[in-house]
Amino acid sequence: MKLQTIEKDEFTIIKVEEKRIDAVNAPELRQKINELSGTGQTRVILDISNVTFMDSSGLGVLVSILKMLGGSGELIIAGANGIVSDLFKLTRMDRIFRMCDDPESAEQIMTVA
Amino acid sequence: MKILLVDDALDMRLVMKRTLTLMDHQVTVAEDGAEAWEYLRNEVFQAVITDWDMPNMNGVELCRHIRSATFPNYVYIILLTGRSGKHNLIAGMDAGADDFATKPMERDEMEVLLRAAERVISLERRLEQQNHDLAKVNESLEKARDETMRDLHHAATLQMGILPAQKQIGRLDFAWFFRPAQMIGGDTFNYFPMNERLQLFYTVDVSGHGISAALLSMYLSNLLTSTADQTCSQWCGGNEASIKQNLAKMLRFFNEHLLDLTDHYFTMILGVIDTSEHRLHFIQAGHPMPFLVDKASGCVEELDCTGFPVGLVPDVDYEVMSYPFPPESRLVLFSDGLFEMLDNKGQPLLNSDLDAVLKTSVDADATETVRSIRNHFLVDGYEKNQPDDLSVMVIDFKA
Repeated sequence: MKLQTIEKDEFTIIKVEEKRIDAVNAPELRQKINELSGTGQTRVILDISNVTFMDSSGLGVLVSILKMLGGSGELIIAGANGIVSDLFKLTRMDRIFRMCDDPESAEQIMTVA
Repeated sequence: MKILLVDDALDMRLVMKRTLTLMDHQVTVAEDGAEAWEYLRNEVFQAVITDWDMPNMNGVELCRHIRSATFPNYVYIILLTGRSGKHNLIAGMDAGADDFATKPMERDEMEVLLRAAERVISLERRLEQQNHDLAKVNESLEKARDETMRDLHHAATLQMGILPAQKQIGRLDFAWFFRPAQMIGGDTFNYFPMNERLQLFYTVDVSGHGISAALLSMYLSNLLTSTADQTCSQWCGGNEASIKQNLAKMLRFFNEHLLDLTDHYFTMILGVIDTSEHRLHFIQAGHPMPFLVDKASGCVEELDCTGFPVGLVPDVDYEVMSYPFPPESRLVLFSDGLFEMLDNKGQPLLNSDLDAVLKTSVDADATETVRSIRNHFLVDGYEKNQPDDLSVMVIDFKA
């Protein structure tokens, strides 16, 4: 899975450079965030504005990432759009995840907090 | 080594045979290519030392014969030339010769050539052994694969076998279609009467697909049936509030149970049709929104509802949706695999496609409607490209 990582002082932005998050590539995403949290970075913005499709396994992995970062961490999903955004709404995961329309507003929240 | 020596000159044959025998090789002699070929067809030789120019069959022709035949071992060929050097060595190599020597040969020279031959033959032998071992491994892998495929076929038959067979219960007509992405899948569904008035139905889509999703869907099917059985008394004569309570309680139980059990989760619609009160109650747990069709007016409506999947996050509440469901109503349930299918131009099929099929099928019965959906979403030539399990269920309440 192609991921672009931008390290900031207080948080890390991970941009998914793929069209799909699915059963095949989602485990790599979890592995990457697992490595990050191992280095103490548990505040993450996950930018999925390029993603046009996510299947049930992809959603399952995002929830496991949220659980992994746990109480000590913070995760913001940014840029969900189209049928990916519909999936968050259909499954009410938009109420479980902290979501932002775009990465810029996610950065503002992370900076203020 | 067992060597076949071929030369039409008697003196050459005698000299070389003596030298080779002194070097502890087992030597058979032939006067020309034709005689040599006869020996080769009946005996096994590791090496052939052959003259170039001979009557009947010359050395190059003999090379070609040897290379086009199938011997159990590699035959190393040394082609002998005269001092004149007029022979085309490249042609000899193309015919299959491994090495060349000029007659007459000194003993040392012969020794060097034959040691090189032994080295090549032993490499060839090792390669043959490895190929043989690989073939054996391949054979056992193929056997294991065949066994797995047979098992999967049985599992697929079993999975189809637990799907509901009855097509009519009271005034309700049922029709469905199921096709897993692989041989077995994570979609399942069922319907059965709780009592004379209430008809329970569900449709489930386990996250992911393949064997583990299929096993979980089988387990869920069992769990749902037994839970419904155990709570049957609570449903009897229940009012709307208690029906809704029962549905929400079942979902909360499944949610906590699944969270403890596995990493998989599932989306579902679990509902009840109240055939006396003409009401439909259901919980939407992250499943695609169902369609409600009023066959009398021809109105097709996508029921706008959302809900948490089961087994994904703890401590969530499930909301029960209620709609009028008078006779002439139709409920259409399906899994999200439908919208991963492509039309005949390779474009993804959408909700609007399903909406259109349902509108044209208003007057058709449940079975015919399921067939129309199937035909629309499994387009010839694209039907093999099915990334996710597909299931569709249509329930008609007859007038």
